[in-house]
Amino acid sequence: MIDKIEQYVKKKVDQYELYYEDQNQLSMELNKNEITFVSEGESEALGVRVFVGGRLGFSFTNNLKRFEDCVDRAIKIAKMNDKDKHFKTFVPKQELKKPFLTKHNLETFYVEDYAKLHKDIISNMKNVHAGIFLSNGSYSKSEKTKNIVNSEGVNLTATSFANALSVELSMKANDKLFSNYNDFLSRDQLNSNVLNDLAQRLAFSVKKKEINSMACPIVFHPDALASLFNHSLTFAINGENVLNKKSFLADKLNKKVANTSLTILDNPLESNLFSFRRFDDEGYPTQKTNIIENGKLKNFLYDSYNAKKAGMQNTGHAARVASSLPQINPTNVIIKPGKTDVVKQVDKGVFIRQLMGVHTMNAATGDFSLNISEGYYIEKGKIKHPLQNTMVAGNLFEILKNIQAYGKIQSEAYGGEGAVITTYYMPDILVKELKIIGQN
Amino acid sequence: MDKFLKQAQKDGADYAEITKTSSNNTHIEINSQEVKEISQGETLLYGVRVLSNGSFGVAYSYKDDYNVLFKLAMKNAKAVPGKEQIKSYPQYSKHIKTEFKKNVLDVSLDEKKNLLMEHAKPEEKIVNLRLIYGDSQIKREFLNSEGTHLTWNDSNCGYFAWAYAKDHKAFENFIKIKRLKGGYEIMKTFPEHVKFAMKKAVELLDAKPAKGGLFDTVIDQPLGGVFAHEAVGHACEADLVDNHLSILVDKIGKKIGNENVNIVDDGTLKEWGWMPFDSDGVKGMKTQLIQNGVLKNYLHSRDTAALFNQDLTGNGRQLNAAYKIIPRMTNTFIEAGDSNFDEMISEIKEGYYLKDSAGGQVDCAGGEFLFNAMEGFYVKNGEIQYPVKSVSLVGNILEILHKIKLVGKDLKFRAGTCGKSGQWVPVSSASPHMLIEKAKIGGVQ
Repeated sequence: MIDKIEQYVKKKVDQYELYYEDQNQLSMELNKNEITFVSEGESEALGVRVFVGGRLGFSFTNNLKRFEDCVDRAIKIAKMNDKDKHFKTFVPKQELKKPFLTKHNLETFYVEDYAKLHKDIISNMKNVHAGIFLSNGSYSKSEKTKNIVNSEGVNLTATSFANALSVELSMKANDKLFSNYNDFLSRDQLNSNVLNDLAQRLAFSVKKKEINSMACPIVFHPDALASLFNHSLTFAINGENVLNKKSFLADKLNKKVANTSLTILDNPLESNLFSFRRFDDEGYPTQKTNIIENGKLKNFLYDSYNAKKAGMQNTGHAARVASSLPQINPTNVIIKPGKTDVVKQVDKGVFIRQLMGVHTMNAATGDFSLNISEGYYIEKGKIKHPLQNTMVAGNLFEILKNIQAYGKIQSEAYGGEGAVITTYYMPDILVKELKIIGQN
Repeated sequence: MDKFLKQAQKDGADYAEITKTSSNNTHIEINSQEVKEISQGETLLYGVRVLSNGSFGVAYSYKDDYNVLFKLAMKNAKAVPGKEQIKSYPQYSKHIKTEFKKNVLDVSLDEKKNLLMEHAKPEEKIVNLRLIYGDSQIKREFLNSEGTHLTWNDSNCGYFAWAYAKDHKAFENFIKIKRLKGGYEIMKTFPEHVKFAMKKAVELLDAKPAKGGLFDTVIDQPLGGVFAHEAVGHACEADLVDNHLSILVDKIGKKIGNENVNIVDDGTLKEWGWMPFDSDGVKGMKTQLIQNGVLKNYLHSRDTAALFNQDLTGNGRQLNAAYKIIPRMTNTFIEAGDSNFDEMISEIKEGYYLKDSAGGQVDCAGGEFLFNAMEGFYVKNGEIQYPVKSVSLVGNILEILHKIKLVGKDLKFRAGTCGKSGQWVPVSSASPHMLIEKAKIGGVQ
């Protein structure tokens, strides 16, 4: 398909980029332990960028029968647009560093297979605690192929599978309903024990209690810290936000912004993590980028346009869907583990597993004041009880400065926007002190 | 297309439906007085849905081969037999057109871009100003095995002004959004709203952090609207009630708030959440959720109405044909009362005046909610003192509905986008000013 489109656009303009994707998706909705709804379908989409007479134009369609209209529209837009001061060229063809890995275990996994797996998942969950039920959720399996072609010789294709499970588990106890929510994401088949840990935590949550307001040490689980990173750190290290003076870290390059123990890197070539990719969504080869190294801010993330504009090296962080221009987005954000169990180091404090309403935090400044949707009171190095009606307030950039220790085990948490997924791979992190708002 | 619907029934579908949705979109974005993006695009999606063997099957594609789509939908529905049902609805036909004064298609891209550029100059202390214009024309077609045939030619237009202000001590931002059903006439207020966003961002630089605690608090119309939507509307959605994920389970006919609390969802209003017909093909209607403090109704899609054996409310919605239709709000609001704003502020000894929402979230099962105000003011002895920042309203639905002391006369709507189960749909919400006694305020200090 894309060959035909390239032949057409080539005749009209010298500089172009075609971003084509097609996707097959199978989704199942869950209600009260059962699969009640199955949806299956295919979609394809094309995004066309052209550079004509120093001007950029962009158009998209998912009606590929009329791709000519889409190309023509992009050219028309370019002709009426202002001259672009920064754009020079689409990304040049370059060698890619690693062979591409694909997992095809999902290709022949059909509704019947999900129905069978689902029975096992539910039965394993019930073995944890018979009173727990899956109140609602969904499975979603997708196979997506993207194809990037441009006038500079780039012609790249990648196919990836994704398997997602979202669930809300519930349980009645003491005349009250308790529930907990989680997302699971994999490039492979789901394990039939996937819900067991969530079920265990839910069973424990019936012991929820309030605590008094205090300032105390906090242990962040990767799920909670990733949600803060995803809204605020991601914003601050985005090269475009730096150019636009919106980043809190704009003038802090090579300066100390965190505890010297902290190193945060972005590694798209880490093939075991979900956001693995060999090239970004402009066809630029990906590489490891140190964001913070021993407490110093080392790099912002760029796509080709903003790198050029800033006079910096492209870091290969363009991410997009066909209907939008490339945005800058992290891939696999990694913090190395430490050597201890950080909860054991806390005499009196709070362990935060999940935060509620994180999208309401101030992304630019890092300020937040949020309900703890899943958290635990720690006393003498041990988890005592789950928390009820407790809030935490603070600032993400202050947290980075006040990290004291790292847990032994890393785990994956996910963020990103829409179809663009960022994977966070981090250990538990102990922070010196934050304000907890409970009962007075 | 009727023949495909009939064939699906012959093949064992208890109910069958076809949808076709196409759209044309324009997006213009100016950042720091430079064009960031000018784009146009089109979308097209064909979908079918069947109910067979007590399960819903859906298939969709960019190709309109309904034969293939129905076969796939039937196969998948039959693979997971269940007990799902659907509430029937009388046959009707309707052809709707969103009215506008000035067709967005009659205004050139050039003119739209120039309007944004004219107002893109940042004022003092504004380090970044991002302006976005968007319009879309959406065509929807709906046919089902009950013989209903519906079309809707919809037109949307709106803008977004986002200002970042910075000085030696602070860094703040403020966003002003307007979106409406209609045409280019909506842009009339654009210049004043860009100025407004910049002014507010600068004002926030001098705002002090709020202190948390229990305070008498006045909330304005947009924030009150978000409260109606987040704290009450979601808990009325019948799928959540069915799953016992709503605090309003078994509460119909019970008093859950003060006498002066009346809350409504009304899909017939031509606001941002207008639903002349919902994704189930049911006509939009006005549904009383709370009347004089008493819970009256839940919000239904066809399947939840069948499950509860209650009347349809026209609230079945989906993001697009690939998704499950679930109960969603349309235009949700707290009905006007008889108090005025000055009276409310004068009642406060020490407390806050909170304005507009910067997003919120609610745990419908436990009833706990949180939403951040875009602006806040400290109030002392009946007078507004100074601006505060990073302030949020936190609480429990059932507690706070009893704390609404005064309800104003000044109802005002606000457009928003509501997300649930990964599906984003346009909604609006509204409220008059309200005085809440001993509201729980979350602050940084």
